[in-house]
Amino acid sequence: MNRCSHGLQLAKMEVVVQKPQVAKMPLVVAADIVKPPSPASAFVKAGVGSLAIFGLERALWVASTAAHFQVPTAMSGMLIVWLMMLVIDKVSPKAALKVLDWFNPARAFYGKGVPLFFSPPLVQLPLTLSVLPLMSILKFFTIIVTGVVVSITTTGLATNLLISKKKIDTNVKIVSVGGITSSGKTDEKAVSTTAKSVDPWESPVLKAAFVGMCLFAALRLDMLLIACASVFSLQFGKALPAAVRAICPAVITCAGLTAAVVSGLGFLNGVEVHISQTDRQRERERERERDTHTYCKFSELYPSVAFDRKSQTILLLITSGGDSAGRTQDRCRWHIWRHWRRRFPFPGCSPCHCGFGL
Amino acid sequence: VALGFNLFEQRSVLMRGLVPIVGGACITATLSVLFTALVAHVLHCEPMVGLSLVTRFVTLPMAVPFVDQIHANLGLAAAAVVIQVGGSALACFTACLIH
Repeated sequence: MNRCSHGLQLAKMEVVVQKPQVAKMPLVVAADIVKPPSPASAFVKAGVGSLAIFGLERALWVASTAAHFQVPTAMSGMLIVWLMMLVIDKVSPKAALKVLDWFNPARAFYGKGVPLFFSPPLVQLPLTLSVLPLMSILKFFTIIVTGVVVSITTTGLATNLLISKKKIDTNVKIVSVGGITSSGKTDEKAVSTTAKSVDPWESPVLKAAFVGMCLFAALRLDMLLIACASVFSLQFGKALPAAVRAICPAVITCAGLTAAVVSGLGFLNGVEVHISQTDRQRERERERERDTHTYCKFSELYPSVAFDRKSQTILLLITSGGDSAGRTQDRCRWHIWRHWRRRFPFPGCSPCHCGFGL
Repeated sequence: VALGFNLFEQRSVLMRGLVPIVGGACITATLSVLFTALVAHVLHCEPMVGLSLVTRFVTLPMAVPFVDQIHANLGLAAAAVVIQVGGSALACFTACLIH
């Protein structure tokens, strides 16, 4: 106990406080009421539900843009959904449960895919860090470390203060839909009726992503190759042992491997990783944009592009090396690439788009 | 947006612990943002670095619109979020080992 930080002590205290609450809770499982959907029905619900959620977010974004009043669409959408569900629940609790159950596959889809949305900005990270001085990077980490300690301590103290002022009713009713109870704990009984546990290495998504990677690499469809590589990296990260994931979460594995694929493709295409800080360099970037628009297209098909407008800038920051010093290297890469292209003709790229000025 | 459903599922817990949850979140968020801004100012961080760190307390899908608005760097903001998540996971893992 003495070796723990103050924040960890507070976290332990909270766990000790919560344990009796869980023990006293009367468990009401609604899994018996809600039947598990068939695979086909779950697939349709996942697709339609995901589109509905995405449509709401986009509609809010369009509305906020039209009104010239930028609001965070994810947060406002979440609150709108919550309020709508509360209204439905007031009118008919059964209808609310049915709506919740209907959106379960879509929620599971988004829940599993969330780390994928982290990877585009993280792929951009090496480019960003390359222009920061070492001192700034050290300051960056200092702020994060001290900030985490302060945040944990503040949260613990504030919550303890507020809990001591207001005694919480421990008789909490738990409602479980789709294997998730209202206390946030997974109900194993309910889960067993709704989903089968699949060995991560046997996951059909992992296999499909790998096949897609091989297929699109052979067909020279780089954008789709990156998309499949992102999904494969995420599934690969999830399939690693728990001890490894504790140190290197799936999101980091996903971002790292995707960045490696993007860099590898950039190397084969003879692209120099380059980021500008000065106006002159920005001007040069704009001039080169014509040559690099092929690479910009990568981001258009990037999985999370619909959710993250910023990801469109990932490969805008990658520009071709046009200076004389880089010519020799470019030619070496060009030989590798030409050899590759001879064997598998690249359908969508004419030489003038390859960034070599040929 | 899909988190709205999770929020609805947790409504009974939310309503019963409204004061600690909302109050604690407000106090923590305010102090943490102020602390980050203050430390960034004291350490003479570049504005881009300081602004990117301000959003490190929220998940990235929610941070993106803010990052866009305050003209911070998305890569650094994402790194801050992920480092915090990774750090928390590592802290939990270490705490479990110690325990």
